[in-house]
Amino acid sequence: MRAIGDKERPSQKRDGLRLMRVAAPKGFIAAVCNYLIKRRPALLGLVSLLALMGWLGETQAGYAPQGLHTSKHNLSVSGPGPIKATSMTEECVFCHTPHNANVAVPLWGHQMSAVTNYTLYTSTTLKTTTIGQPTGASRLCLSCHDGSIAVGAAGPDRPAFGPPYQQMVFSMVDDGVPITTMPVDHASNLQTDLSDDHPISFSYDSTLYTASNGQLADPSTLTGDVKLSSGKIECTSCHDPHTDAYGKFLVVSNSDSALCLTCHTMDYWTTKPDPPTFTAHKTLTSTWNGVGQNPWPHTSYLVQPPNPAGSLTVKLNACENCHKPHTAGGSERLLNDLSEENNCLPCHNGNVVSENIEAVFAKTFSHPIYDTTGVHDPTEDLGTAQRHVECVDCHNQHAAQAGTHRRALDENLASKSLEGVWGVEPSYSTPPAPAPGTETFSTPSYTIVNSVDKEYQICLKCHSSYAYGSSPPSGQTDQGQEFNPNNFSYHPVVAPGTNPHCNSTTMLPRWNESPGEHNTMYCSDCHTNDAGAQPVGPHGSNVDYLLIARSDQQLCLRCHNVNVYRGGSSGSAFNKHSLSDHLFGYNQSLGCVACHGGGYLGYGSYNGRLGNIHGSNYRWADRDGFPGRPSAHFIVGGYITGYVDIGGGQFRCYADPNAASPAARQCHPGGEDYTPQ
Amino acid sequence: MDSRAATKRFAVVIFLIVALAAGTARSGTIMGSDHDLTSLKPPKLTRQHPGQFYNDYADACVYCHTPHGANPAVPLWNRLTNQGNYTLYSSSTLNATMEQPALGGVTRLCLSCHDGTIAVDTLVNYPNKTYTVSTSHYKMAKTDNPHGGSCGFCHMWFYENPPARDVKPSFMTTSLADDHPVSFVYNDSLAQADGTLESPSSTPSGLGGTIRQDMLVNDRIECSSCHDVHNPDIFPFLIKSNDNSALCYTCHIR
Repeated sequence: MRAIGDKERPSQKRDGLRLMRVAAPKGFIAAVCNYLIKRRPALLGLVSLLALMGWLGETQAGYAPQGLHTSKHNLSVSGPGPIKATSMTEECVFCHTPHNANVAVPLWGHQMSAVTNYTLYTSTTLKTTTIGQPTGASRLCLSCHDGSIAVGAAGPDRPAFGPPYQQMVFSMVDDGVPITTMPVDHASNLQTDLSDDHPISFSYDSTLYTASNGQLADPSTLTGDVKLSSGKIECTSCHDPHTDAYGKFLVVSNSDSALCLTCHTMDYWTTKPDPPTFTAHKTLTSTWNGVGQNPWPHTSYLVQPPNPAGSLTVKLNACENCHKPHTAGGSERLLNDLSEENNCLPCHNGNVVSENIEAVFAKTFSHPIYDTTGVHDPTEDLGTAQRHVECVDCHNQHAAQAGTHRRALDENLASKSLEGVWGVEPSYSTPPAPAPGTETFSTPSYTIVNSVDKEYQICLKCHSSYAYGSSPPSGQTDQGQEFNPNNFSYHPVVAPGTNPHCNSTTMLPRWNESPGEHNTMYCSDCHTNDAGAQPVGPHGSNVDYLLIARSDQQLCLRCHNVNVYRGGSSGSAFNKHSLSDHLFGYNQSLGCVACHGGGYLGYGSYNGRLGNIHGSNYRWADRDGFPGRPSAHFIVGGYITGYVDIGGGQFRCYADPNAASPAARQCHPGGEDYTPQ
Repeated sequence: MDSRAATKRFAVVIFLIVALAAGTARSGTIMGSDHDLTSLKPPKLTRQHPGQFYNDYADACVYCHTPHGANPAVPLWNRLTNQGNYTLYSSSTLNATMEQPALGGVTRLCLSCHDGTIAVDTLVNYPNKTYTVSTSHYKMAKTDNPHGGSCGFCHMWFYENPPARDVKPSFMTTSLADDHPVSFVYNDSLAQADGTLESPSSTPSGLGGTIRQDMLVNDRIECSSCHDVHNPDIFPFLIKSNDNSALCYTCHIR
């Protein structure tokens, strides 16, 4: 109940929410007397009834009265907030004066800030060209909120009401401690650096609307509570200083970021993607389990009726899961934290969503999301940018959905967690025929894909010449070249395989159909969390190259049918290769990569070009008078030193180059040659 | 005595009690207040002004009123009034239709001093034919040459600290753009259109009747809506206390 002198306020209607105020008895009695004198008993009864209804309404509504008096902007001695006057009882006077206002509209009585060089918001994705020093209503707000002027300075050359004349600056306290300007430990003290605050004082017009390319609403639609001021976004577009019905003095509730989304019409978030499901960041009702750091330190204001206590969810936070409209940690794009990954990991650590991505990034090998800060930029094309990786290089935070590794069994469309990410699509040509003993590749050209269909389109924007030109980083090879379907051999990532031997006998289900679309695979079939652990994806692994496993059994034989390669199977090309002959195991004795894709430059090790397992276009040198073979079937394993066509449909492998006799230099010193089937 | 007569008598008694109570509450007198432009009366005890620039008529009423030959007749006005146009308040959130203060209306009477265009001792009928008022007589103004007719040359915070009086808050100039709007119709349809204004026809003013009854002049907000020129009890000549901004909140829903 509010008591303001003898003022009677039976009811108030605001924003469709009926906010009741009880009639002060004095005013009520006065009204009764007045009508009694005028002998209007019928009206007296009506007034009494209305007053009673008002009182009952107050009792039943269940909402605290909203308005200036009950808000922190009541700076008078009766104010509910920590900052208030020590003696001044008037509430309006801290901002308004009825005469000789400092700023005519809206009869502004508070001393204006003299600051004219606010640091303005800037961003590479900012489309407005009209942003300037604060104007209009924003300057009024800043007369307190830039922290440069005393909160009680209700007029620079206007004595406080007297007599006797008092100080021009009303004395103020913060939790009982005398203050002049707004203390810096108050979040609402924006200070004069506005670069970490949502931009204000720019024209939100048709030019900006057009420039936004659909990322902003048509300003002509702003006919509701979110308003422009002289065509500009000002503080008052989002804040109503007179009432705090929704927290933070917002003009509408920001539950589900309804306020933000009034103007911001983000691709994927606002516009329905295809298929028509929205990002989990918009729909997920997960809550924080209370463990560790609070992922949502600045949105507790959202938890108020009608949202019940403890109801802060991903959905309710929406934009504010990652963004902070004032005093943002990462100024550009108003991110909670300057370090890009720290906007994701506070939730993706098992405390909001069960999958603990943060733990995966702590594994021995990981994509280096922690290594760069401030390098990533949404406008980058990576063709010229410093090579880096952040979470948002592979995931679109406005589009990502909960997704499985594979959308469906029979296709290789990118996971829904990769929805809306840009990538590159290679365009291939046939590499020149390699001379014996050499390998040739052709470098594909790339086309930017705004929203990838295939996972490899994301991987290739870093792991190809698209990112680094002709010089791959040390220890890395060009996967864009390697997956060229014109190579002698390639794993079917960018194009279906053509090897007729990959069939229902040799391959495990999903891969055992005839060559075709169904037989394409993901990069993350091999490069993913090790030991098949959740969450999947090439975030981190305890196996180098972010492989799922070191052992062939857990790597190659996830797709290739072990029964074919185990010795003894009738009709198998490996009928000479018993289990004991070719021990499964990465880097131990003979594994798959001893012969396949292990690199052609070494013997008994993997110091060759490991990328051969992605694709190979090597022609072996002629040897012992026999012509060298192409590296079909990735026959460039680390154990092999030569591979020739000896005629009659038979091929010969050479191994230890140091053995005494030519026969001994063959893989099988007994002279057994390989007859492919 | 029939019951109707008894009721009538009872009502009259109640009326007298209420009227008496109201009269007691409004005990303030203009004498000695800031609106008493004579000098040397308690509690002001100001010094005599040089007659050259300011006439002390030794009669508080005559600065505004005359019993005869008044212009306008109501309220027996004795001052010249500015006939020119004022710059009006304007705002994108203003729903009311602003009008020039009506000629002869109460706002224009107040402005005959408070716009600073006419010397404060300029009258229609002087109490004594010996009085004259030249252009060098003091007008309400902020800064000016003291010989150019400015009260505010001395009576400002800037020059006196604290000043015996401070004309700044009450000097409106002919621009009313930085002052609370006056001379506009405030009715229920305005309240409805604005959304943050009380209904004047049903909302009590706190003075006994409704806003419309106690504060409006021909349904208009005028200076007298907030100010009682004759009663200095509630500074600055307010019709009711503004503690807790009660006067503002009478009309404004915030």
